[in-house]
Amino acid sequence: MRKKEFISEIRDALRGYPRNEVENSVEFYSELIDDRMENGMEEEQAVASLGDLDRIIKNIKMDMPLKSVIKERVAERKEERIRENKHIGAGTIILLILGAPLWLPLAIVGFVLICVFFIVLWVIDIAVFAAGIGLAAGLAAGAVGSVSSFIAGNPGTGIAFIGAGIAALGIAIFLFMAGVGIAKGNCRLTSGILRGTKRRIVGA
Amino acid sequence: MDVQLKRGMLDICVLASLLQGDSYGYMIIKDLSPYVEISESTLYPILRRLEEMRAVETYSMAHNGRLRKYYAITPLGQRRIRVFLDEWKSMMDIYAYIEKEMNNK
Repeated sequence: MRKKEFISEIRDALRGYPRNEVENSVEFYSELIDDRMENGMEEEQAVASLGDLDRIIKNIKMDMPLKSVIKERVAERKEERIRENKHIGAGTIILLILGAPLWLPLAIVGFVLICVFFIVLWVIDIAVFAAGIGLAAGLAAGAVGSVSSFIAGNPGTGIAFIGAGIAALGIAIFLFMAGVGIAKGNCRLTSGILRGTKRRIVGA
Repeated sequence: MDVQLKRGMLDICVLASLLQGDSYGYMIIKDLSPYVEISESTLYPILRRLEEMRAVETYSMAHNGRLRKYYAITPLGQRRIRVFLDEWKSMMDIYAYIEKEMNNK
């Protein structure tokens, strides 16, 4: 394949995606081909050395925002239907309307469940942080307690208060670290889910 | 190797290849090839990601009657390398411990 064909194939496959993103990737690959040719490769050889065109296109798509991937997929489906002359028939529409009492609540429940899932992830994290703050406050309480115990002439209780305060601080530090860890995990999980969804749509 | 781990490693490899001076796609692949196999379709998303997180900056310069895109590492990119090295330092300590225990079994 020659460079020109290679590039027009990429452009064709990515019609409907954000223009500047597509041009960016075209520029990147075309520069690589030019550089390889400058280093003595034949044009066709240089194109072939970039690897499987299908793979390249899928990788570019995987890098697009999820929104444009979905938009493109919906448009593609629509085009397919028009091409195959498959209109949404009156029967389907009637079925959709009649079935609304069934599928609409199900769709809403599905959506809510997804929302709840993410809310729970973050609520757990907030709870861990809140517990940490509470225990850090325990340190202050311990300090106050120990000072007043010493003043009241109860050195034993005072030392116990200091110990409790330090223990609270230790657990608080641990909880803060756990909170940061959970937040990181949440972000990773979310981006993993987004990538997985994209991979499904793109078919990579 | 774990995909996530490998992805992170490649990011740092690309950043490291810019430490000796600004570079461009073809050169980065060539410089890295003795150490890691990195294909064009892998490099492109990495460079984009690094640019997005401002670990690299880009500029275009004329070369043989065409434009070539150059990549330069930013202070933020250098910091990412340092963080990576620190993290791996402790990883290596753990590795050494596990290896020692295994050999003494």
